[in-house]
Amino acid sequence: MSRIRKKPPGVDPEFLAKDAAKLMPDPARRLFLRGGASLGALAFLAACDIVDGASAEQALMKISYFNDRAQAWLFNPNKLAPTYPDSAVRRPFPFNAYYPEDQAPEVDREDYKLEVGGMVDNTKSWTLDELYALPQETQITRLICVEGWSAIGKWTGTPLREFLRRIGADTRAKYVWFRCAEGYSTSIDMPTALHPQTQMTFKFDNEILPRKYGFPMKVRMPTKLGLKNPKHVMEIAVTNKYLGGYWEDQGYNWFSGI
Amino acid sequence: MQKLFYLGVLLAGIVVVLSGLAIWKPVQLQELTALFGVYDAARYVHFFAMAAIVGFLVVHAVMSFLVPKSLRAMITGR
Repeated sequence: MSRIRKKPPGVDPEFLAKDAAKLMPDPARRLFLRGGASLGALAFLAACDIVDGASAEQALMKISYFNDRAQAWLFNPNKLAPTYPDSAVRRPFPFNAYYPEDQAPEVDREDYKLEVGGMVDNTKSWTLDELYALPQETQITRLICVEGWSAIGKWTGTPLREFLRRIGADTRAKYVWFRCAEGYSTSIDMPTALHPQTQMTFKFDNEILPRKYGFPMKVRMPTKLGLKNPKHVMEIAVTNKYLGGYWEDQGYNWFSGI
Repeated sequence: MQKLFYLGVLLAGIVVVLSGLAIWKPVQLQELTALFGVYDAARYVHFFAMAAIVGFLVVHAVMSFLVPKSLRAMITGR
């Protein structure tokens, strides 16, 4: 039997096919919509996993580690933070800590000894008088807080790299860690520790560092957020071991560079 | 008018990225921050560019619901 169809009278098959195609949604559009719907469904499935605390934490920490690496890559050890005239200094400078001002630790001037540890040649402790005898510099820079505010301050002290040189620190180590009187701690990368503006600070605005700003010594680094600038520093250690810090252990980004 | 609106949101998108980088790294990218004047100025620029984008999205979505034809066309292609 012949399968050759007779053309129905008055109908052009070419036009008929075109008309039919018009009724069908565009295949590209159909694919796009279907893809979008699948992606949405996948996101919902993934969300089941993400609302679960531990795995959400893990996923977010992975992003934070990536953030650390990106910031370390972006960090230029020779780039200086902008400096300002004396008239730009905020007076009074804002107090900020996780405790109220009247609960700031009281460190006794006479008893104070800065402990030095880790990968250094000389672990001798330093009295305040010995520290004050080190060469000092003054910087007027902007402190930027992770909370969103910022203020320009005037800090005077010894470049940390000068101190690291004197204690014979192994500058090939990865980290410098700081332990503070109030139980605070933080750690920084070695390139930042060696940055010319990273300072062991003994004075604020020409006055001996008051208790609220970290007596007897804080570490000031204008290349990092305020939370990386520890106050009341009691111990400095050079290490290859990642020791995190007070906020960092609670999920704050470790590098926190600016 | 509509073209102006779309051009505006594209510009706001560029500004929000640049001002975002400027307040993310005001030391490493200080030249970029300086383009906005001072650090705080970059923060304001970033906020208002974000607000402009959110405003655009609200108007954009409201209009698509006001003209049901446009929503149908997005799904069926017609």
